[in-house]
Formats: sequence, structure tokens, C-alpha cells
Amino acid sequence: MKLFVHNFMSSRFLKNVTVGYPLELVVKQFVEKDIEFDRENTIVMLNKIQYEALVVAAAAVNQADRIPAEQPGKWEDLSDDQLKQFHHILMNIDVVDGELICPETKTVFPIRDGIPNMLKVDGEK
Amino acid sequence: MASFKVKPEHTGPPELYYNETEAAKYASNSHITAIQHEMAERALELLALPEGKTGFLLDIGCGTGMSSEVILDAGHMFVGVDVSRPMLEIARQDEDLESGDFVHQDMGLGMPFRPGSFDGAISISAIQWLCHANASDENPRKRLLFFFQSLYGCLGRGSRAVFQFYPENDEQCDLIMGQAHKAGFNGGLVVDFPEAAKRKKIYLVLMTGGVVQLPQGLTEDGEEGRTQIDNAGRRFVWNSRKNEKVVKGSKAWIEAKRQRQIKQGRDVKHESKYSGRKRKTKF
Repeated sequence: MKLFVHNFMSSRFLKNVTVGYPLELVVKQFVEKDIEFDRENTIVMLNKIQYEALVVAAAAVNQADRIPAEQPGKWEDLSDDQLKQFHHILMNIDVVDGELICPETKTVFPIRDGIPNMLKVDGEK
Repeated sequence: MASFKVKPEHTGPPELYYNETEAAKYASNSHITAIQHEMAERALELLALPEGKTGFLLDIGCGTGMSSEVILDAGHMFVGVDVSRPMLEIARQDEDLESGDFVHQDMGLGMPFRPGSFDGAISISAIQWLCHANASDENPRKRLLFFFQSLYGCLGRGSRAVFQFYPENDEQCDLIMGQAHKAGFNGGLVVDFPEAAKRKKIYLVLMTGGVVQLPQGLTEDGEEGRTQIDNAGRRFVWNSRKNEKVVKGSKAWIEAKRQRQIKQGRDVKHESKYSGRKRKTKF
């Protein structure tokens, strides 16, 4: 699971959950990929991102120092080099093994082989 | 005995049907690939995304990522959702799909995304799976409604969702459309090639926000299509008000009955502001 997906995921579909965002991210193992940088796509994605959640996700893979703690001004004004740092966090980091945890019900969704499993299996913890 | 082709959704739940062998077969079948490609392209066209802009799309029931590939080729980004893990594992190994990502989820349990995440959603040959109950505690009606509600939530305002599907009968069509409408979507069916049995394809085009004219379905030949009489039954536009029954005993019901009896030439009392009112208990 790439980190940009984490930024959009929510456990709002569970019963009795009102916000369910952001999901807590526990990373046990991740790989770094090399996906082609595309300035326009990165800006489109960054415009949709919730920045606080992205910082939390970057911290979960110990790479929070790559991006500023506060959201920079306009994404369009950033240089390619700056955007590449964001691109790296969003697209290149692929969580292979870990967990997503609902902030309200503490339901655990396992990430195995890079695919987060959001099915609620009764009796499975 | 003649063997009829059984629809896969009749055999059991999708996560069991699309196991490792079936998923591998599906992914390597060139006929399926070609058809899926064509349908995904048409679905993308029906989404009517603003031109020249990159969109972030949801691919519901992405399977091995055939439709996702079309999304990428068109220059958009995507997240795919499917209930079959073997299918997703194949999709993840596909290097062409590297820049997207996948989530393992059952449509009927709801889409696990925050509000306003996506610019649109497409789904190729997936939604009919929701019409079947695979366990005693599953209610297709409820699951469809919940699915549409959660989808409505995670789509941006003014965006669309296009579902290509194979309805078994009119009831199934009505069920899917009814639940989509209940969840707040506008829209209806677009039927491509309605006269051709094999090429006929049905797309459910759903829109968040105001009513927009539905796009036209494709026909075999533009000129020929126009000389034929429109078949009202084929392009179904939802209108829930029309079929609403008036409550028995209400003022509207009394008035309708009065009009009926006048038509029959019976002697009826005139209408007044008192008709349909309750009497006081102490009359």
C-alpha cells in the first residue's frame, strides 16, 4: 500500500464510526520503489491530500524529515526538487507488511503483501 | 442435455469464485481482456471528466486491473478495490499498474475512503455480484444501498460514477437503480447497441449533484439509428414520484375517488374544505 492511499482511507464505513480518519498506520516492513515523477500528477495529488495525515504517515516510515511539518503555500510554486520529495513519500513508499487501525473502534485492518484488507472478519483480531 | 452458460455470480460469492486458478485464467484470456478494455474505455468516456486534467479515480471491482490500465493510459490516477485477493495479487505484480494501488474490500461493506476523495468512479462487470446474497445475514437490498451511500460520500461534488453491468432482468435493473437513487444519485441507464444481442452493453451513469442530461447510447450506425422509433422502455430514466401511491383516506385519495365517480356519472357531493377531516369524538 502506497502512502497516498493511506491519506484517503477512512473507517467511516464501520458501524458507529463518525469520522474514522486518519487511520493509524503501523508499518512493519516497507519497500522503496522508483515510480516516474510527473510534476502535474504530483500537484493534482497534493491538492487532494490532507497534509496533517501525510506528515503522520511519513513519520510512520521514519521519513518525516523529507517534508516540512507545515503545509507549504501553493503547490504550483514549488520547484521540481521539492515536489520530488513529496512524490517520494506519496508514491515510492510501499508498505508491504503492517496494520491500519480505526481511530475510533480500534479495529485492526492488516496489510499483507502490500494489500490492505478492509474486510471485517468476525472473530478475527 | 443442452448446457446453458451459468452466470458466475450464480455459483457463489466472488471471493470464492475468483480463486487463484480462476483469477489466472481470467487475466490471461485475451477475449475477456479485449472486451473489458473496450468497456472500460466507454465507461471513462461516460464519466465526462474535464479534458486535459488529471483525475483521481476509483476502480470498483478492479479484478486484475484491466480497467485500471485503461485509466492509467488515459493519464489519470486510480485506486482499485476488489473482493478477490488472488485477483489483486495478480494486479499488484503488473508493472504497468505500478503507479496505482489496490485495496481489498467487499463492495457491500462500503467504500473505505474519506469524503470527497475521488473525481469519479468506474466499475466494469462488478455490481451484479451485489444482487446475490451469499450468506443468510446478507441482504442484497441493504448491501446495495450501503454501497451506494458510501460511494456517494467518497466522490467529489459534481462527479460521476459509471457502472457497466449485465442485468439478468428488469427487476434487477430496477433494484440497482432504485438503491442508487435512494442514496442520492441522479442518473440512469445508457444502452449501447440496443439492437445487437451480443454487442449490447448497459451502463449505469450516476451523478452527484444536479440533474444533467444523460449521454446518448451508441448505435450500430448513426443514420440508421435515427430513422427508428425511440423505444421508451430501453432508456430508463428514474422518476420515483410517478409511481407513488396516494395514502388511502387522505384528501388526495378522496378527491381522486370523487373524480372517478363523477366520470362514472354518479351523484357525488361537492368538494369542501371539510372533506377528509376527522370528526370530533363528541359528535
